Amino acid sequence: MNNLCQFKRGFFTLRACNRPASKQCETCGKLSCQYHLSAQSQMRLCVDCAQKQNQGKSTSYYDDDWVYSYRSWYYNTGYHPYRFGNRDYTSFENYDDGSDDWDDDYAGDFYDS
Amino acid sequence: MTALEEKGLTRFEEDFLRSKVVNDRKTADQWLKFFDKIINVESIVADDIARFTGHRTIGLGISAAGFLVIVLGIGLQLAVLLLVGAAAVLIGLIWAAVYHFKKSDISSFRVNSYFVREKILPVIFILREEMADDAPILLNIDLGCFYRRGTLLQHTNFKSDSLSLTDVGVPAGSNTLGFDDGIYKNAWFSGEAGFVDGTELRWDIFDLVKFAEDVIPKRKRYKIKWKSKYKTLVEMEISMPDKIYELPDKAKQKSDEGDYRIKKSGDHYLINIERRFDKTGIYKSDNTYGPFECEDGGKTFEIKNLLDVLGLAYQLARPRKNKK
Repeated sequence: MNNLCQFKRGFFTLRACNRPASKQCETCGKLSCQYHLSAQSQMRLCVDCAQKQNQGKSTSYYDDDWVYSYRSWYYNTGYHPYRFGNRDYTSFENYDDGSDDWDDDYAGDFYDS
Repeated sequence: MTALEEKGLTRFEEDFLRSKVVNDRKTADQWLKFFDKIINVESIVADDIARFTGHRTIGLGISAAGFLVIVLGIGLQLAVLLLVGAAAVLIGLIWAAVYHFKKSDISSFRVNSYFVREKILPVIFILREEMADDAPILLNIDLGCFYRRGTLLQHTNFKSDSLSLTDVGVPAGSNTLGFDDGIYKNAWFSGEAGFVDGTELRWDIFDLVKFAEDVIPKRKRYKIKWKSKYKTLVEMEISMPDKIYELPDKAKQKSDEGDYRIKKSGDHYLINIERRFDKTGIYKSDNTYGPFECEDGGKTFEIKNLLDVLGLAYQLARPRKNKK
């Protein structure tokens, strides 16, 4: 039996977690490491299932539950993570290849907003 | 023994609590453990402060009682009462002084736990996702309050002949005014991290703070106003390996999502991104209350600021199809 965590790890790029699994999620049955078990569910559910159950409720403390619910939220804002070997590219264009006049004098226009 | 001593702080933790500054490399889990302990210190320190305040009050009470005994001794002309009263005053004052000192000392351990929770922890949690478990993160954090002690970027002032900007409220001739403005860089959070895909990240999150001191004539007196405006800036250098990612050898662009520049350097692409965020914080005071002397950095920073800048780099890159 493969005793590795079956969840994806990462934020900007996703990869297999592959940490040793410590438990099975009581809802979906996926093998999960301690990082992918939800502390809010007393480590009974995986972070995905716990998130579905707690939809609308926010966590009051930053922990692994927060990371994965925030990751889902962030992907909904339009970010598409690179999943190793599988990604859709649509916006790799429009580079200005002009002269090198990178300017960093941010002091002058502080009140520009 | 204080509750804080029972907590068993290491020298490293104690140094951070006193100075509010830390520069070190640790794994993400070690940092999370460190800050978890730091956050818990706030309530322990509050308990100790309350306890020491109580002891100081008792000391002052004994001292006051001793004083009454002295008065009584003078009234009754009893030398014993005078001696007892004097001893009580002395003991009470020493007691109060000791606990006043202890209270002042432990107050220096106070750290803004809300700030650590809201601004520092989320960054570590998210970086951990991209990193190997044993890879270190370099953090340079300065949570000390900020008042005109960052890097001065720009300074302008005007002072009339009859007006002293340094001496608040000094009378001067009619229709005179002055100002003293400065823009400062308050660097409070920078660091380095290496990701599992070979990407190396260096970030610098800082506040751009504008202080303005204005002197305005008002009915033969002078009104001094102090104002500070601040906003968050994120600067990042991301080095992506060319055997995994493909980017143009040279490119640059200015946009709302951030100004970036890409340059090929050896077997890596170097991406420099700078973005300032529009959310502006303001603090005001005048000579009724006096100038503010201490201000927390990073008030306008949100975790999404960092993610948007780093996310831009990943959106610019695409994985190389034919691996080198």
